[in-house]
Amino acid sequence: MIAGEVLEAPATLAWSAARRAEVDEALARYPIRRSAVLPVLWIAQREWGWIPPAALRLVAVTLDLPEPEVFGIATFYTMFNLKPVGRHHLQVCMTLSCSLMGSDRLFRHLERTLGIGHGETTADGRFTLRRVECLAACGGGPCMQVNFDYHENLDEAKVDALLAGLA
Amino acid sequence: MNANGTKVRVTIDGRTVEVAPGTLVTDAARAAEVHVPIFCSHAKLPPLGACRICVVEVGMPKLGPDRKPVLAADGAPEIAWMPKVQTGCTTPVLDGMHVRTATPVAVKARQGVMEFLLVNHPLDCPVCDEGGECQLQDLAFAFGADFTRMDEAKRTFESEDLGPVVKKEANRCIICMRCVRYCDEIMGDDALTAHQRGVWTEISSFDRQPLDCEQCGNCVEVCPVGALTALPYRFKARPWDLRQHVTICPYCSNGCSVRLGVRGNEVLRARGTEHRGVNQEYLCVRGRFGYEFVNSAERLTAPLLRMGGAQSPASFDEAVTYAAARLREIVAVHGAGSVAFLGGEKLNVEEQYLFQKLARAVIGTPHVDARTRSTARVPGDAILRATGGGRPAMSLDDLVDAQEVLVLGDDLQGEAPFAQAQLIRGQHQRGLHLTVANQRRVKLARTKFGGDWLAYRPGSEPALVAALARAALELGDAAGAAPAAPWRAAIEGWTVEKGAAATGIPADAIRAAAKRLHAASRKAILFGRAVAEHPQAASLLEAIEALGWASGAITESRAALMSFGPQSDSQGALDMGLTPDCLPGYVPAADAAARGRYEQAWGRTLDLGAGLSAPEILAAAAAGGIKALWIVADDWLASAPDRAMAAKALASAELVVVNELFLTPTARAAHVVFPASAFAEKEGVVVNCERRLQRTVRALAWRKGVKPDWEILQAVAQALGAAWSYRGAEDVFREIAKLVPGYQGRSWATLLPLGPQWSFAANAVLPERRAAAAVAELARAGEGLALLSGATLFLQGGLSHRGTLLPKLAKAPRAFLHPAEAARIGVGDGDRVSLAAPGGAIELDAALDPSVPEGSVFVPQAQAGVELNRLGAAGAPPRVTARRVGARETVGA
Repeated sequence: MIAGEVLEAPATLAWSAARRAEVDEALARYPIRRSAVLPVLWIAQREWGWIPPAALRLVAVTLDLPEPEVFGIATFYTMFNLKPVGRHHLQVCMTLSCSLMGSDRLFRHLERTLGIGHGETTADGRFTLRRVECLAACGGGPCMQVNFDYHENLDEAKVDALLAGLA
Repeated sequence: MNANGTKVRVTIDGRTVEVAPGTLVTDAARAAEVHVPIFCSHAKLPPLGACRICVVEVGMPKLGPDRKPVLAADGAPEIAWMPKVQTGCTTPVLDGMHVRTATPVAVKARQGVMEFLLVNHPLDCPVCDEGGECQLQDLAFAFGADFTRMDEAKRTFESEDLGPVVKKEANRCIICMRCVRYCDEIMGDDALTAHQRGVWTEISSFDRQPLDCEQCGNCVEVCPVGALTALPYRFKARPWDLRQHVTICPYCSNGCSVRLGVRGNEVLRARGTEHRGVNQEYLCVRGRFGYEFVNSAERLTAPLLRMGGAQSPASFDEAVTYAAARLREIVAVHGAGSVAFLGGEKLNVEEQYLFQKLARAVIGTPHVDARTRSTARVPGDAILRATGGGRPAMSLDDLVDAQEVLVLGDDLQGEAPFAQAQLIRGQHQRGLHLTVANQRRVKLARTKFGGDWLAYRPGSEPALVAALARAALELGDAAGAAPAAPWRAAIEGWTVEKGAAATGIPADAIRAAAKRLHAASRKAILFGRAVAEHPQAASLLEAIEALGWASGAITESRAALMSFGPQSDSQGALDMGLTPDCLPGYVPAADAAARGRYEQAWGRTLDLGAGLSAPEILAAAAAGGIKALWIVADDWLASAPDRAMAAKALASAELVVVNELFLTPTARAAHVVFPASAFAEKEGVVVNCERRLQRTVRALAWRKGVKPDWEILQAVAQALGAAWSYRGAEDVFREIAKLVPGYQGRSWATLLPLGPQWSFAANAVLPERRAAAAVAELARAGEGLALLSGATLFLQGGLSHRGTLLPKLAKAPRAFLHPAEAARIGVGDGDRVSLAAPGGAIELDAALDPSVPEGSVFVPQAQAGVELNRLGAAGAPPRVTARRVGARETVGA
């Protein structure tokens, strides 16, 4: 299944009071509103887990920016999720050092184990698997980032153990 | 040398040219007639250097230890070439610079760029609409290799329809960013953006939704490849199968040049004209996609005659004979003063000249007026006076460089789209500041353009202008603002505070706006139909003249005001005397000495008495005083301020003659209908808002049964015994160039591609200024909602309805209400509402729009199905009562 089908994208969204405070804090940091676009996109992603079109619109309105510009910025950065992701976002580094240390094999193992490919999410919404560029952990390759945590010097057995521990 | 920054010398491939400092190498190369290819660079956009195809070798004279150029053995300075190639489109020239474009290094670099551009390009030229006029194709042929070293798979994207006019094939895109930047910096729409990055960069809209924009198609125009193509033209033709004719767009008063692509006798597309016209590549949605009416199967193809009951087709000769005979009878029985001539703002000046000549010299009636929408009598020279009395006029290009521009009353998006694009470009690129006086928050008043919005009470334009003029006068004497100046009469008795009270705008804001205008050395005041068709237009126009003088927008030597007429040649109609009080060239009809030139040329006395203006003709005809009406190029039932009265006038007239393209409701009411040529089928001169004379060319063969208006008018004049023998429109123009002040000495030969802007010699004879009344304050409040109207982008005049695309874009006619106002009167989005005035009522679907102020309802003009003039005289300012009469219609129910 494709990830886009996991969650219905809402038509409109609004900031919660807590998030609004964070947004105001981010806006206060810059002399022009436009500069706050990346922090505010992060706030949106933290709030909803991903950034649906309605959230992009909300960010555009919040910063008084054209909607297409916010869309362009959000798509430029791969770490913004423009589709829903599973509870555990498995991001496997495919760049040189990790690749030399067997990240391709590791990725194929994950694909077989989870039954999903790059950019896909398991039907139960547990895992999303993704190839990413260098995670800057070259000394510990092959490495994988799960949500915000790094796991280094991986092999198939370690990955299996890791997956078993993720609910 | 370039000591005082005048010119710099640059040598390109051995050719030396002098150009202005700061000129880019690519532009200097064009001046030197050396071809340097470009993709991403665009004359209206700042340098970017995205595509790298313009790389050249650049060098400067080598300097010795004495800081003097080192000379080679042959005495020429030795050149120190930069070690790497440079992008010509981002490199400004320096004095003494040398550029080489054809050396092995430059050519190899360019071939390298070409190879990269083609790495992912699909090379699908045989199925690409751009094929044959594609810069990438041309340059691949000129510089590209005949094989590729890439054997990897090309990256591919899905093709997309970005709304109804733009087709996107991202595979062909070379990411030059022209479309994105044009949309942002010139259209102000920001509808396009680059998605993703690196090799996956793709131009698209927000979330791949249909483009939410003006649908102008300029992104298609500036796309150097086939990535963006026009859906309406998709797979219709190949460019080499088209005959291309550059003529003038028939829609608004900007007078854009439009390049019609014709196959057979059918217009298949319209495009901008690179490096030509006032607009160059720019066209609005009407100009680019509004040509369909020319090809319409509903066009009239034979004259119609009503003898007794129904209209039936007749030959041209029968129609001419009948019209002439009836005119002769009516003049004999009721006198020449029982005949009135209306319309003509869409004709070219030759036809306008003949129309009034037929009225005045052949029939002998003074009742001529083209301004059928007017609600009150306005002197024929009022707009000329308000824009500086024929002093050298500003140009549309001057708008880009202005520091302060006041847009008064009109929504330029519908009224003058190109002028709006110039303002947005000036704002974006050159720091132009906008002051937008409008009841609604129109596009230019949006915060993103950084201007000031003066939201005045409906109908209070005269108070606003009077207050602005007073505030400007407070700032000290502008040149020419003598205490005895005659224009002071219009603002007599007004103060800034009184204006603030009448308009609802704080006095501080009025003073600040006046100060900005007064202080700017490059400025402009723009207005249009909201002024010209205002119930107090006559005194309002004088107040604008006062503001012009007081703010320094009018000086003895020039004027920086521009008026946008409702049609493509409204200016020509004024120039050619299609007004009751002015003969061609604003010669006062009542001045026996001044009109002598025409009496002599036309061979009869022109002592015709006072002419009636359009609203007076309407009233007189409805009352039975006018027995014969000749209406050209105007659906009077739609344009007259009171439809019921116009219908009565048409029904009671003994003779109604109509020249039209289509069987409009007005034509249906006529006794004689002459099928007339469309803009693409005839030649002539049209005059735009800059007072620029531009010649149109004939792109299509004449249709069977259809004649240009000048031929129709001449045939009837001849049947009435006039000795007219014009062989073509050019003959008529020769007569105009002999007789008409401002046009004297002009020749058709000098009016292509861009003619001059006409101005009066300093000693022009304008009519005596009537003792103008000061602008009066309108009644402020009343029952119901203020009825606001104005131009819209997608439809203008009767012709835009005749295609399929523009009406589709315009959607159904709607009444726009502020959400709070709608809630107050219990109307939801899409509900049916009735708008009622004492004279009548209309029904429309409601739409919620926060840009409409509370306490008012906005109904766009010129939409089929919106007949605002059914409301009759709805008051000044007009007010209506809105009432919900039905629920939203659910689709498929």
